[in-house]
Amino acid sequence: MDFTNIPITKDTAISIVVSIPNQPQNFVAKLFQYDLNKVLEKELGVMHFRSTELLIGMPSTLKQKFFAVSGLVIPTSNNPSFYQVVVEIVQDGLTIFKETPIHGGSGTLSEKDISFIYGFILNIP
Amino acid sequence: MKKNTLLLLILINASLIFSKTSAQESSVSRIINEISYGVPTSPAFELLSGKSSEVVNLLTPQDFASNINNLYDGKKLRTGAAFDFRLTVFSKNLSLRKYQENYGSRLLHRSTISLGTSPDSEIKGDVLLSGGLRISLIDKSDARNNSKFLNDLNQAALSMIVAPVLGLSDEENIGIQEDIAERRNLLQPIRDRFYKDNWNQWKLDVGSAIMLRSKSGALKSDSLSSDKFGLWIAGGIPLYQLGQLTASGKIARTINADLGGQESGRETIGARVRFFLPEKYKYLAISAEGALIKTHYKAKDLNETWTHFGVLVEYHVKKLKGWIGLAYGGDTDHRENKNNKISFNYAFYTNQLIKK
Repeated sequence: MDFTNIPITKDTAISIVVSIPNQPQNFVAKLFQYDLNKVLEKELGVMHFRSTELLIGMPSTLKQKFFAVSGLVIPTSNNPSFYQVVVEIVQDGLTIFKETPIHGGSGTLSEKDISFIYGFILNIP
Repeated sequence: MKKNTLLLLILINASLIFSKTSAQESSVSRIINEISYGVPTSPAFELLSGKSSEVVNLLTPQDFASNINNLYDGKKLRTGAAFDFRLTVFSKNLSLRKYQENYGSRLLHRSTISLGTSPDSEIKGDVLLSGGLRISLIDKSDARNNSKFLNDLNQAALSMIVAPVLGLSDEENIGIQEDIAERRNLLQPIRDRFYKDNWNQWKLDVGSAIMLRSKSGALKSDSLSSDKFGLWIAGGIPLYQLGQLTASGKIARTINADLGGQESGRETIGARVRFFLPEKYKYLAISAEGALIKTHYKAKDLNETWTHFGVLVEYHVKKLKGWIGLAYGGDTDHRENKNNKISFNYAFYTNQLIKK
């Protein structure tokens, strides 16, 4: 699985925001945490269009962890439409990193649900 | 030899029966399909004769950039273009949450613009350019705006999401996720239930279109003249869970109609009621409709007014896996109704004609 390295410089709580900000599309996603050996430790929580932000934790507790977002974009109409998922890492209310998942993160939605996945590592000094 | 002749006779007979059945079916379906009681999906193409058969949905600003050359090459309009797009195609900050909370956002997103061109059949080199707008003012069947439906859908979807296996590739993990979703198939029954319960909800749509004639395809004000326009309004009212009343009005005008037999305008108002028995008795459906049509000509003595009506009763014959349709209706006398005089028709067919 691919992982994006996200540098963290401040020692304040880290949150993740998963959203489809520019199209009225429905989605759900879960965030999972893994240890250094890539073994699943826990499910950190869920995100959906009404609740897009999830607290990951303080940097000191997140060293040498892997994270994976797994989600589904769920069509609510048969008409083809575009969607673009955005994953943001937030500290102190500011977005410090923003990216669209390469796999399943954007495209045309018609009748079929579309899975997306996004892996990242928080690079904490 | 005898065997082959017999087979040939059976085939000829079957094809005769089939062609007779499909002719009967079309005489039944014509009674309920002659008049549309809704606003066209892409109003621009209602005015345009010889339109392109395929309408391209422009979903992103990038789609515009890559398709605009098919409409206009920088000097002249090109023929055969057919696009439609939502008014929100360029918008930023239109999440589903904002869509639910703001009527203006919903109105914009439900509004579509259609654009199309075709060659002018009368003057060689001239191009017909048509543009239309469709707005859905009320749509109570809008799944995006139904919190309970979305909540049910999302709860089911969350139950299907599994933790990715980090040793596998992204594509493999997505494949696993999609396999699980497909096998568990929890979402489709929720969608089916929603559409079953909301097919006949309140609706109000309006649409308009204008067609311009462009001299030699030029896109300058002195080369363009208006040729036709149309206005549509249509509404749907639920009749409990069993039926729906749809009513509509349409005005169409041809601005430069000649003094001969060319129609210069048409107004249509009408309504249709459809009834379906509840799910466990879904072997009977009824459609009844009536419309008043007025046509206008420059030569006023050619003007006409007539009515159209139709009743279709469909009965599902389980053993034959098909439908028997009994229809009565047609048009009162007018010059165009050679094929649609008031008559009684019946047919047997496999696919139900009265649709939700």
